Amino acid sequence: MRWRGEGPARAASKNAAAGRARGRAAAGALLALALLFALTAWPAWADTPTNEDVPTDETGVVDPSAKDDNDQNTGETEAAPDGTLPGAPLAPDGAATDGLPQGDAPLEGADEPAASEDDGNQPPVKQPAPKLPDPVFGENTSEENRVNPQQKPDSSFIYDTAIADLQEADSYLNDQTVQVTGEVVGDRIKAEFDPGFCWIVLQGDNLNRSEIPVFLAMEYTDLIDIYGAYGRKGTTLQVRGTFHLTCPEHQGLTDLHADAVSLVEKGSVTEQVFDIGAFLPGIMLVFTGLVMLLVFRHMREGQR
Amino acid sequence: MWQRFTLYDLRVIGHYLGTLILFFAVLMVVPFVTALIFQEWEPASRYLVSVGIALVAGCSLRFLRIEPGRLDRRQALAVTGFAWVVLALFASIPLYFSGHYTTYMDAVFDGASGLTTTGASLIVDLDHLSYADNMFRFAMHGLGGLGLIVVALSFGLFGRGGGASLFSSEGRSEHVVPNVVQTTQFIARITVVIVAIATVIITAVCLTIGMEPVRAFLNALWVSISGFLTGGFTPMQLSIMYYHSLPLELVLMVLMILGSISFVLFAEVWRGRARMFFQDLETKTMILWVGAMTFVFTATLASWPYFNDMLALLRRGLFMIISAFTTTGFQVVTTNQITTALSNGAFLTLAFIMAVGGSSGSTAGGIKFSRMGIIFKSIVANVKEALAPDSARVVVSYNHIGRRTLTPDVVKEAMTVFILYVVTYVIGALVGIAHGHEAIPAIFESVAMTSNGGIVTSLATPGMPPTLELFYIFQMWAGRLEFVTLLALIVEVAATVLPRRKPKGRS
Repeated sequence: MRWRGEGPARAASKNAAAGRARGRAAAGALLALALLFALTAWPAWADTPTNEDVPTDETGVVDPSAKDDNDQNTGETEAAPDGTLPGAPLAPDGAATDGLPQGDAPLEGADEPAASEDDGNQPPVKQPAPKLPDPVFGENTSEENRVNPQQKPDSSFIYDTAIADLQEADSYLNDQTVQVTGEVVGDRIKAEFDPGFCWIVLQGDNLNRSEIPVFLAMEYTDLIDIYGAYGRKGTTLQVRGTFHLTCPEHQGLTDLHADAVSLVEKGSVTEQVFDIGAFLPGIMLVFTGLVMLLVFRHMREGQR
Repeated sequence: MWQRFTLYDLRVIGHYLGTLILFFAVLMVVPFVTALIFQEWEPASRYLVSVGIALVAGCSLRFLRIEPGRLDRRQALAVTGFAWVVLALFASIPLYFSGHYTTYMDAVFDGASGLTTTGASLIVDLDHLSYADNMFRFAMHGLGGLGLIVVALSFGLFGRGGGASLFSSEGRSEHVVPNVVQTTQFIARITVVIVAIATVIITAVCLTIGMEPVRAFLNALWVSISGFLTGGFTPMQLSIMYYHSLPLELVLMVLMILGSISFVLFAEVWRGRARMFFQDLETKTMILWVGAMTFVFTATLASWPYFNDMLALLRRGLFMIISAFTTTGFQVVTTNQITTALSNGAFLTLAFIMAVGGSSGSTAGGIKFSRMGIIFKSIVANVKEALAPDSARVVVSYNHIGRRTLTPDVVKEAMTVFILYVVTYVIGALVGIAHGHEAIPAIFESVAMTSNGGIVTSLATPGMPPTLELFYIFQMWAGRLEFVTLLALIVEVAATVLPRRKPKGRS
């Protein structure tokens, strides 16, 4: 039955209104789904973003398996397109070397409408990207925490290299970008002709404890809390930079010019405990030796 | 007929070896005190035990002969020859228990290397070594560089007997003053003065590059000792590269050159006779030899893709040449660069430079410039004789602490030692090759050990085969004693141990 005055135009208008309502419903449903998805997939430790809640192994490094789980759902913890990771310090020239600043990293697909684009007449609904709290360096995180546990999983296009490999490097590694992790040992040596730069030594954990001198900006050394020495385990750093078998800038030295430095593990000091029991064998031996010396002198005097 | 050691000889040798071990116990008090100062309790207890062991062993050996007696030449040779090995064994005790050695043999190797001032080291994780252990390593360089016997004589440990025999048995024949004890005291005094001056300068350099004052002083002291006594140990694993300091490298280059000059020539300069230094055969040979080798080294590197710019050649190349000819063993290029970035020609040139070494009467090792100069003069004499009329008598003279005439005895001594060095270089290379290594690194390493040069590449590594390690220890020992003392000792021991052959005709 047709109402009077109800023409094809009105019918079309009614259909269009129904279509818009369906579109809104669909968009609402998809938005709800997206929100539900986001809520259910929220990393448990991100709700209370303190360092203690980060799933780490015993060395304080994020458990890679836990990271994989999180990566399925959070785009913010992904490495930046250049392969660096958020949170690393700035390069000496002030440029952000390690990806985008915290909180500004776009979610994958965040600029796409959350609603379906089935309805070509509907303008795309812009949904603001949900602002996720920084799980590591964001608010509510202890300001003293300087360990970036997100740095272990690595980009694929730079050489993740052992220091031992650099120490035995052939010419093929010359001038390559490499990434090494090692303990800082010795001292911070000021670079003689480059103010604002310095040298540190990174030591590998292989049997021979291979080492590589690293040329870096002074700012990076703020990450170092302890320089390795006797009774002191130095800060463990991950350094990405250019390896030179014979550095043209440093008169042929084998070195690594750091582009990005990040902290893997803080250093530690082993307390030297005085144990008198450890000295007893030595005291007894020295006493015996001295008595023998006196006896010898006495016997020699007796012979004269 | 070889002479055998009698029981009396063995008692006297044991007595004097005991005296040297007691002296070594006193030396180990230095790292013990260092450990106490820096509150390194574990090293402190370790060095106290080592001092105790050395005291007990030294005293026990001294009981072999209570009444003092004079050392004859054979006994002096034996005391000197055995001392280097026995003390290396005592040195290995605290080193091994530091936990920085893969095997006990590695610790013995480092003990021998420290005392003979070779400078090659098999230590692992040097940068975490305690101050006490480092102090001990450089104390060994101090003792070994001056000479065990020189130091013992300067302290009057051997009394009045056998001083001259002991002095010459350690490869020294030149006297600053006629009295042996005064000569040894002069050598010790010169060393203390130069090391003290160098320590002050290098401490200042280390402070300017940002090192902590204590570390700056200790590092300066250690590299000064090692540099002047041409030892080669460094407190840091990266050797001199660690400091990234051109002024420090310049100071060390001067120090190494001073260490490779005869103490007798020092005395001449001290007395205002600097002209004598420049007229000396050794100085002339040094300038000619090092100049020629520098030219070859530069020429071979210039055509190579690495180290071909002037700054790299000047900074790395010159330092390595000086480190090689003074047989110090400091490095400003990595061992990997020596094998990878240097051409084979440059690699072998460094080996030749190390093989010849520094001046006689200095702390440097190798064949020595004086012997090379004498051999060259001998060739000149032969050519002159060939060209001269039959009736002519050819006399060739040379300057070496005064005007001297070239005699057959001098040439024979120089040729004998030269040949012994070359033969040992070759045998050492063959031993390396037999262990599956490449020929050129094997030659290089063999030369580094025998000349006490200490620049090592890929063969002397922690946990190396013990047979190769033992041979290298033997090479360091033989090179330090310049063969004659060691060969005489081997012959004496063999004659004593092997049964005497019965004369023919008797049943």
